[in-house]
Amino acid sequence: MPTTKDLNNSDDLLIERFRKENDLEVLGQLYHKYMHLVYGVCLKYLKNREESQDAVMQIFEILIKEIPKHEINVFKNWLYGVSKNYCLMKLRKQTSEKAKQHAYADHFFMENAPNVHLLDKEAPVDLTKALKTCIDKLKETQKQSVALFYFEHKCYREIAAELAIEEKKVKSHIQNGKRNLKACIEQIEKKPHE
Amino acid sequence: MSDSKFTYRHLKNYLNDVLSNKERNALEKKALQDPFDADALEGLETLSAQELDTDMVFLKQALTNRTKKTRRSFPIFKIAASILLVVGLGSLLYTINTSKNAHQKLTKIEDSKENSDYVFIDPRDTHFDTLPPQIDSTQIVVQDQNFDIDYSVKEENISITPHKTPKSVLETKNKKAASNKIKSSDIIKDEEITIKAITKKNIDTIQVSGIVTDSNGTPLPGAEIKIIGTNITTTTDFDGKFTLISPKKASLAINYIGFKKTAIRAEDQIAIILHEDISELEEVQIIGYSATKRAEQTGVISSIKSEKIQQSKAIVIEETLSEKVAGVQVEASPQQDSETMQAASIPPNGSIDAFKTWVYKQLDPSIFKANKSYSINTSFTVNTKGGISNIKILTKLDRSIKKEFKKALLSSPNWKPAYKNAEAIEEEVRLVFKIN
Repeated sequence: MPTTKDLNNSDDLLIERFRKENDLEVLGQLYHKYMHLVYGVCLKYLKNREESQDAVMQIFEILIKEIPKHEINVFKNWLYGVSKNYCLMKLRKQTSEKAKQHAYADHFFMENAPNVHLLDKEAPVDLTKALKTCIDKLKETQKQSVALFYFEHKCYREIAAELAIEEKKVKSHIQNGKRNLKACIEQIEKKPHE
Repeated sequence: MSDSKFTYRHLKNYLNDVLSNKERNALEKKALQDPFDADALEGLETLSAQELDTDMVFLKQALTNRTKKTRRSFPIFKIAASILLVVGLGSLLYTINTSKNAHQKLTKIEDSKENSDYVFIDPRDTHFDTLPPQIDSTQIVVQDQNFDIDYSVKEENISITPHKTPKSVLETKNKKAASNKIKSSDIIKDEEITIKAITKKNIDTIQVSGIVTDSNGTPLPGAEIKIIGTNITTTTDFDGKFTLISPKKASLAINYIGFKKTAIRAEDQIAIILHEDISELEEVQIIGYSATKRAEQTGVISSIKSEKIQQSKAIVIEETLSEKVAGVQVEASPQQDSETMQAASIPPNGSIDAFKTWVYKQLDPSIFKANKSYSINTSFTVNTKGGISNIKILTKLDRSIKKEFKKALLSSPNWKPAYKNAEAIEEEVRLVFKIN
């Protein structure tokens, strides 16, 4: 199975080739890998199939212009930033006629690196004491959802069935639980002698 | 840590429910870590498996069209042909000139590529103020290479055909136009929209003409051709033919209800064959009976679910539907008509106004601020028994007001449900309440 590193390499290779040769086919190859993700993001924000399809093609045009201009670390993250910001700008344009915006401010092209939570690290076998205490402190539903998801590797659907709640609720319990755990752990790390 | 979990194939499997629970868990975990994946998953989940498949096929087509290289086969023929053409034209013009002077039609304007005045614009995204009526490229203001977008534009649909010269199609609103090197008097007219030239130098456009047919070769009139990424569309005429000005390598989307949406590359002459898509027909569900704009409608309307209808920008709903769905006859009537196929639901008090008055009476006046007028857009479903459910308040308001409204609507006695072909059906109703 290709690792993230391998994928990064191939992305980087494609980007280099594109920078050198300015060959649209190369860029198309790269974009092809992530097009479904870009489409998904556009659907989420624009909520319209036709507009989202347009957006996917527009974003490709933006890539043609902007890739040569910026230093890109991890393409996927950078692409996310560009896509999301494009959608948000489109939304802003739709709601406020008078908004005059400069096309793409610098910060739009910074990368959005994903956060890695303690729980998300592969095989959290070595649970720290802090984590254990914190999990205990969670509310019942959050505790159960988190435990089932991370320790028993159950999917949303299973958890929803087991706890008799909606899948959406399961998701939010897990996300809130993660957040509370993070805060709790940080607290404990500040006062280690507690 | 593997990135293969979010390939399109894997995502499709997740959405189609082919994965095991463990695999689902793994994908969901991955989504929690990467906001890109999470957002994408959220968006894609809103589509059905078939829709997603269709859309991805379409997008892949469009991308391929956009990036494929044109075959350079024997440019010598093209060169020879263009030389011949120029010579031929030259002699033709010369002979015409010597006989009659005022005969220069110059319909060749569209063909001569050095004039890039048919610059490609999207009225929503660009700010256009440099389109000279004469072909004088020195007057075109070309800015630097940066892709400038001005969002101060009113959304309007422009269909550009070669017969309309720049003067009549593109009109400017802005005083900015005056500050340009062009004679603004040539351009400015009464109604105004503002568009600005895309500033990429050397943007080539071509005139695309073509015909759209089905797989049997029957021409399809009323098919929509759209330049992807813009709001610029045209429709095929009675013979299925169309013409359009488009940037050279753009992708065009061809749409016709009942057929699969296709993408094709812009070229001088194209013949498009559309393939049927059975699933599309199901989208047209409800027939409206009144020709008013949605925003102005304060009475009951049935919602029209087909995306096609919303997009065709036809204000007269009847025409759109008769055109796009074979076999549907729609009659415009301001009230229910037992001869047409459908009747809308009736509120308990007999009329919409009476119902509204009743609702107003149920509300606690203290929740509204004094001296403030409200326009509250609501939608709810009248089910087959006449009960009200799925109440949504579409306007942004305080929670207390929303709650009060929902309560009032919920407590409404039963309506008479909507009917279609003598059978009761569910109907979505939208009402706007005005309070001051």
